[in-house]
Amino acid sequence: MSDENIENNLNESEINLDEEDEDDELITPQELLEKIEIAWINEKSAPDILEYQGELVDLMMGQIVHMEENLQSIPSNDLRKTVHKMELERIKYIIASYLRCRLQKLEDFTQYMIEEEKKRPLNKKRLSEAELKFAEDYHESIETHFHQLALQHLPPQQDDISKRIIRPNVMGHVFVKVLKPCGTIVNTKDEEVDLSENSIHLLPYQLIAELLNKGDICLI
Amino acid sequence: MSGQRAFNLLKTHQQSSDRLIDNFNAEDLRAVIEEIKVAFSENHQDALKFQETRDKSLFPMIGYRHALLQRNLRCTLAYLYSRLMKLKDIRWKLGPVINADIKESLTEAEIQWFNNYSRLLTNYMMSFPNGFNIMTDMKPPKSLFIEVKCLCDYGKFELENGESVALQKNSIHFLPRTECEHLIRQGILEHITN
Repeated sequence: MSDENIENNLNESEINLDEEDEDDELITPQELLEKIEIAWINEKSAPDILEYQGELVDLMMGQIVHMEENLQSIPSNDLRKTVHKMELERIKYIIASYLRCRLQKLEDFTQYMIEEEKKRPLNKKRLSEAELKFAEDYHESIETHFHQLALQHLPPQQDDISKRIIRPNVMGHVFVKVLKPCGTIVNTKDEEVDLSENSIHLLPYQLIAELLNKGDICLI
Repeated sequence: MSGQRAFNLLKTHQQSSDRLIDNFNAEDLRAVIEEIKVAFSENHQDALKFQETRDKSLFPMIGYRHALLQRNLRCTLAYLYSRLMKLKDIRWKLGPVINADIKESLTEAEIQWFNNYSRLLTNYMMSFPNGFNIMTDMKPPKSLFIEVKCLCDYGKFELENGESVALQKNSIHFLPRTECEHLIRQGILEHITN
């Protein structure tokens, strides 16, 4: 294998981000990694679940397979192999941690998540198919368990499932970094906050959820 | 005393935090459910009595029993739920097989739930093209190889490259992190830092 090829382990050829898009939005692996890192940190900091970055995850998984193949052909005593392998491990960690973080939220707030997801219009869904399936099955497994061990022995209509919903604290404060200037917003103390580019604020999640979804700001 | 059993159920559960999971307390659970049933039927009778007599002096007792019933129910479900969360931890730490030790502390329905949860996770991971494993890389990787100390006689452990190492108690090895991560979580190896 040529040096060049090894150096470009994160294959530098551009990847097609959006296959259905006529304009063929292209993205380099470096940009892809940066985007995933942002998505990962956002997800870790936000109390509610965010839109699933399925395309990024799929592309990155493709890259991982590609990099693993490349690594196979380098002799194991080559220093570069160690370095690249380390890089690969780090990327895998980010993806796994991102997905785990989402599952964790689904498990903690299962019923809330499912109900919210049902309310969202088709183009605003936040969960992947597999995640929704996981949440629904998980919810069912817990309800079955409750029923089997306790509820079936009780007089009917004593248990009100709606009282058991656990909700995330969407008014919890998050650290926000502004990527694109987005005017001002009014915080909980009725003060105006100027969201100028690169400024950093501590704000309740609910107030900035919409901006976060648009990608104008990110969490840190 | 009313409500005591439900409190007991949660108290003993909480106090056993040194073990992975405490024994399933079927006795208290049954007693709590029994208490709920009794409170319910007594309320039912009083409600019928009220319809006949319109005697408002029945109200405080009905209110009290209803509160007792709700509290017991809540304690029961909290107890069951908290145990499931512990089982979930066990799944992430020790893998899909529950050892006999833990199994003894569980009731049949919990074992079923555990297996079902395992299956859900697998299904989720299989939804990715190569069955991406989210159970590895639990901590940010710092190096490819790590120094580990073996805490028990595990026997032969084969590595991906075909080499095998004998994991004996108190022996120290230098192994690829990805391959021995699960053994560390299971408490067979200990990661030596510094």
